[in-house]
Amino acid sequence: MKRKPKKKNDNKLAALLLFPSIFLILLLVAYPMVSNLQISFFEQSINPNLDPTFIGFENYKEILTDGVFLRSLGITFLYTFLTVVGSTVVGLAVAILFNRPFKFRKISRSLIIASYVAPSISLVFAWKYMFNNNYGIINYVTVDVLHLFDQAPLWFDRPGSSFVLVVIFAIWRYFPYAFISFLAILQTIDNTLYEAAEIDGASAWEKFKVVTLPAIMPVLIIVVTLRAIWMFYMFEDVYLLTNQVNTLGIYLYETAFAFNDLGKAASISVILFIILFAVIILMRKRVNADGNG
Amino acid sequence: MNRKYLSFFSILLIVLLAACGGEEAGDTENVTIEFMHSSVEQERLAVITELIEKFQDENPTITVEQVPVEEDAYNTKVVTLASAGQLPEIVEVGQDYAKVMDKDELIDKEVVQAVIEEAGADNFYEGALKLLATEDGKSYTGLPISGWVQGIWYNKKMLESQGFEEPENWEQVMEVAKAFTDTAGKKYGIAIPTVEGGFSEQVFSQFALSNNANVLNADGELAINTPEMKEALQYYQELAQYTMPGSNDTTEVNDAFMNESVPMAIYSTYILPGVFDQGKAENIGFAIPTNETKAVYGSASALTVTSGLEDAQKEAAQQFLTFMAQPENMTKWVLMSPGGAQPVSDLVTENEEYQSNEVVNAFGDLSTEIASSFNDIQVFGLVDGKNYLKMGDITSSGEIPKMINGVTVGGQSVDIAIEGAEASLKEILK
Repeated sequence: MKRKPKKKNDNKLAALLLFPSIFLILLLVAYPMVSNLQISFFEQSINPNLDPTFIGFENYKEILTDGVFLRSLGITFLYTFLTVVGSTVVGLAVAILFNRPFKFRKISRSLIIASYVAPSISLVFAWKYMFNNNYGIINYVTVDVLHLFDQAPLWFDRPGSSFVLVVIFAIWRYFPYAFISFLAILQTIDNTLYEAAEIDGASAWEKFKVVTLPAIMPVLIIVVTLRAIWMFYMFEDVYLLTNQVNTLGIYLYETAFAFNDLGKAASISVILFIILFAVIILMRKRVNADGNG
Repeated sequence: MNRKYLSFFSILLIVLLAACGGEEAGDTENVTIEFMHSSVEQERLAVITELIEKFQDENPTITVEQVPVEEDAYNTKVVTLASAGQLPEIVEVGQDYAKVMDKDELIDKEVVQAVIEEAGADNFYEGALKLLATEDGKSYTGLPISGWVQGIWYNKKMLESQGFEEPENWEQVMEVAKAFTDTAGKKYGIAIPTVEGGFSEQVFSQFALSNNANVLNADGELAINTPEMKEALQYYQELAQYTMPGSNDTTEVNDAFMNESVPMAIYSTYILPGVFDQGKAENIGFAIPTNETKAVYGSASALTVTSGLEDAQKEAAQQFLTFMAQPENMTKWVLMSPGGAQPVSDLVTENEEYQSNEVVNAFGDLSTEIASSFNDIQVFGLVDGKNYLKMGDITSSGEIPKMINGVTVGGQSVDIAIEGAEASLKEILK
C-alpha cells in the first residue's frame, strides 16, 4: 500500500527533471516547425505589420512545377549520393590503414582531421586561390609546368568541372568524420576473429566482408545517415565555392533572401523535410530488412 | 507535495519566460534606441562609439545601443529582424536595399524627410539625394551620410609608357585595353568584373547608361531588350577579352590594379586608401565611361528610421538622425575611411577637419574631381528623376549579373543572354 504513492512520486520527479529539456525542445524545435508550416501557406512580407495573405497550397504548387527546383533536386541528390559514398569509403579505407601500429601514428591521425576541423571559409578561400585562373597553383602545374592545357581551364566557371570540384571538396573535407568514427569501432574488433578467419583460409576481402563489415555496421549506418542529412542541406561550401552548382540549399537561400519570398522559402523547407524524412525511413527499413540494422 | 511541485513549476516557468522576455519597460522618461550599422572594424567602432557618447551627453534621456553587423550578413539580418519585428530603430542602408525596405513599408519616410529638411536639402549633393528619392519623388528613403563613386582608375605612368593619355570614351578605353593585353605574360588591359554578383551589374550599368540604355523605360516598364542595351553588352563582352580570365570579383580587380598587371581598373573610390598606402597617390587618374553620355556609378550610404515605432522611440531616432546630419558628425563618419567614403554634403567638403585630412590632401585635385562626379551619377532604375521601386527586386534577383557572367565567361551570345534575362525579369516583376 505504501509503495504505490512512492512510484507516483518518482514519475512526478522524472517529469519535473525532464521539464526543462522538453520545454526547450518544444520552444526551439517544435515551435519553429509549426510556425514554418504555417508561413508556407501564406504570401508573407518581411514586414510583420503587414498582414500576410492566405494562399493555400499555391506556394507548393509553384515550387513543384518549377523546373529550376526539379533540376536543383536532381543535382542535390547526385551531390549527396556522391559525397556520402565518397567520404564514407575514403574514411573507412584510411581508418583501416591507420588501424595498425606505425611510426608517427598519432601525429598523422591529428593531421588527417585538419580539413574537418578548419572553418569552411578558410578552406574555400584556399581552394579558390589554388584554382585561381591567374595565379593558382593548379593552373601553374597543369598549364605552365606539365602543359596539359593550352589555357588555364575556368574551373569554377563551368557547371561540369564546378560540380566535380565541389564533390571532391566535400569528400576531402568530410571524410575525417567517417575516419574517426570507423577508427573507434575498428579498435573494438577482437583480433582473434581475424585469426580464426585466416585459419579458415579467408582472403583479405573475405575477412573484410565477414568480420569487419558486420562489426562496423551500426557505425556505418549512423555515419551514412547523418552525412546524408548534412549534405542534403549543404549550403555554404557550395555557395562560397561557385555559382554554377545550384543545390537545393542555394535555391532555398535565394528564394528567402534574394527574393524575400518567405512563404515560398518556408514551403521549400517543408518539401525538403518530407523528402529527406522519406528517404531516411526507406533507407533504415531496407537496412533492417537485410538484417544488418 | 502537489503544491510544492506546482509552485516549483510556476517559479521555473516565470524564470524562463522572464529570460525570453527581452527589453524591460523601465523608466518612462528614458528611451533606448538601437542603431544597426555595418562598421564592424575596431577603429570604426571607436569613432561611432565616440559619436554616440557625444549624442548621449547632449541628450541624457536617450540611450543608443549599437548593433554592428558584418556586411556579408547585413541584408539577411535585416530580413530576419524585420520578420521578427525586432528591427532596430535606426538602420544604415545602401540605396538599393533602402528600396527593398521601402517596398515592404519598413521605412518611416516622414521622419527621414523632416530630418533632411531640417538639415537643409540644398546642402546635400543632388546626385546623392536623387539616389535616395522615393518613387513619387516626394520623399527620401534615408538621410545620406556618405557615398562612393565608381569609374575607371588608370595608372598614369603605365599609360604614358605607351603614349596614351586619359581615355575619354569607349573607343579609347578599348584601344588602351587592347594595347596592354599580353595573355601569355599574364598582363591585361583593364580589370573589370565578370562575376555573377552585384559588382558586375554596377560596372556594366555605367556602360549601358552611357549608351542611354536603362533597364526600365520612362513608364517604369522593363526595357532591357533594346538595341542600346545590346550594344553595351556587346562592348562589355569585347572589353572582357582584355581582362583576367574567369569570374573576377572585387578582390581580383583590386589585386590586378594594385600589382600593376593592368593599367586600368573599374572600381569604387575604395581603391584609394590602398593606393595611398602604397605611396602612389600622384600616379592615379580617374576617367568616366563615356559614349553618348557620361555615366558614373555611385552609391549613397544612408541612415534610415524604421516604421511602426512608438512615439518616444520615433522622436529619439529623429533626434539622433538630426545629430548625425550635423557637418562635424558627418565628417567624422566620412573620415572613418578617408578616400574610400566620399562626402555627400558640401558642408563636409568645406569642413576644416575634412580638408586637413592627409589622405584627402594626398590626392589633391583628384578629390575635387571625384566629389564633382557625384553629379554625373546614373543608376539602373532611375529614369528622368524617377527612382523606380521595382529596381530593388531586379537587382536582388541577380538576373543582370547572370547575364553579364554568361556573355563574358559562359560563352553565351549577347542576344540569348539578354532574352534570358528579359524572360526571367518579366516573371519576377509579374
